[in-house]
Amino acid sequence: MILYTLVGLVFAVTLQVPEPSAENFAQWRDHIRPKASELAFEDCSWKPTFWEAVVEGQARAKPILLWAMNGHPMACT
Amino acid sequence: MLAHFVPCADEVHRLQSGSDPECRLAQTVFEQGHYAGRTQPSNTRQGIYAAAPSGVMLASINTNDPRKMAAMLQRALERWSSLSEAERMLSGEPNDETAKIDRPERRYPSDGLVLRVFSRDLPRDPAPNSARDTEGRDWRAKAWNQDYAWFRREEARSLLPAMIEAGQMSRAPDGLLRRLAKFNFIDNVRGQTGAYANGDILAANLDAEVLRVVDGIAQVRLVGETHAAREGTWPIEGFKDKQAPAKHKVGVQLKLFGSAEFDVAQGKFVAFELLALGTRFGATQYNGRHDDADPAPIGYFLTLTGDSPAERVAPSFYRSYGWK
Repeated sequence: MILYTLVGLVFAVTLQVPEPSAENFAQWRDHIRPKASELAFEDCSWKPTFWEAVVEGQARAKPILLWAMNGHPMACT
Repeated sequence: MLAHFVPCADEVHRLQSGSDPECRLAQTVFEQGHYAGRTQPSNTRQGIYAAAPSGVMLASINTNDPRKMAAMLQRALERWSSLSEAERMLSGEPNDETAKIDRPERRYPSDGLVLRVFSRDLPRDPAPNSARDTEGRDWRAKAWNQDYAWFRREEARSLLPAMIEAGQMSRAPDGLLRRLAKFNFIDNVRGQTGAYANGDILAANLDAEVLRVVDGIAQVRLVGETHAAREGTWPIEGFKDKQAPAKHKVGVQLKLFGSAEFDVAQGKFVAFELLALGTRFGATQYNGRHDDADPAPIGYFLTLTGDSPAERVAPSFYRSYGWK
């Protein structure tokens, strides 16, 4: 327990963690927000539900491409 | 090649376990695909499927290799060409079944506040092995993730002082900040992780100060903090330690700072940007931190969503919102 606490204290002292402020807001926003290249997968105009694709596929006589993940691919996966 | 298809993305767990017409048709597809019948190491059916609207499988795969993906699409089109009209299409009109499908997206709060929440590691020096990208081969070094946070109209309004006048200040309702701390300020940068529980929340507050009101638009400064931590017994390395979970701790502690603009007449936010920076530690089964569990800096950026259909996807933990 003492060792765990000491290790924690060392990290608390040495870890560089910025505090958000008006001065650094743009810097960290731009670091975290995905670049356009990282959002390129959205260019496919994915329909956000399987059923919408079924309805459109049936209406337009087209096959469906379903990307199904644990966690919605357009949200958190 | 994609133009030959109607592309869609969806959450697999609901599709593979639900019982409405959408889920049943998806299950028909899944059980002809690459994970059909599989129960170990998990029963997930995640992957990429090409199917006829009837549910007839064309081809499927679970890969992030573009060449394998292209080959799968080619196989799917060849199979599609070989099917008759009757084999391709549902016998009924699928839109007639739409009302039977109760998706959370039906409760999208279009008159409230919808935020897109991005998460990413902050720079470290020295970076651990998993965050080095000298040759660009370890995806973890550039990992980021996203989710959504929904607020109904009255919830969004409660983030601000009752009187919208310069100098007015207020603290957001405890439950709304706890919701962010439990469901959004989690370490999902490298993959899915669970939500925190109410009892894990050690701090969650957000103060709003109206700086000025110009032409009916209130300009607001946002400042706050959250702190969540829990301990228990769980695996931290996917399926590898699934049979031998050990005791672990996990936590996230953040400072919040941002700004917003609120249209007083419309009762709606027209701008919202919030940064949350701080420290995370620990690992969970699927969040890719088994070799990076020491305290490290993490950041989140919350902003208004756009109006594309994909941005109306429900938050991952929507089911725990308690909305009816």
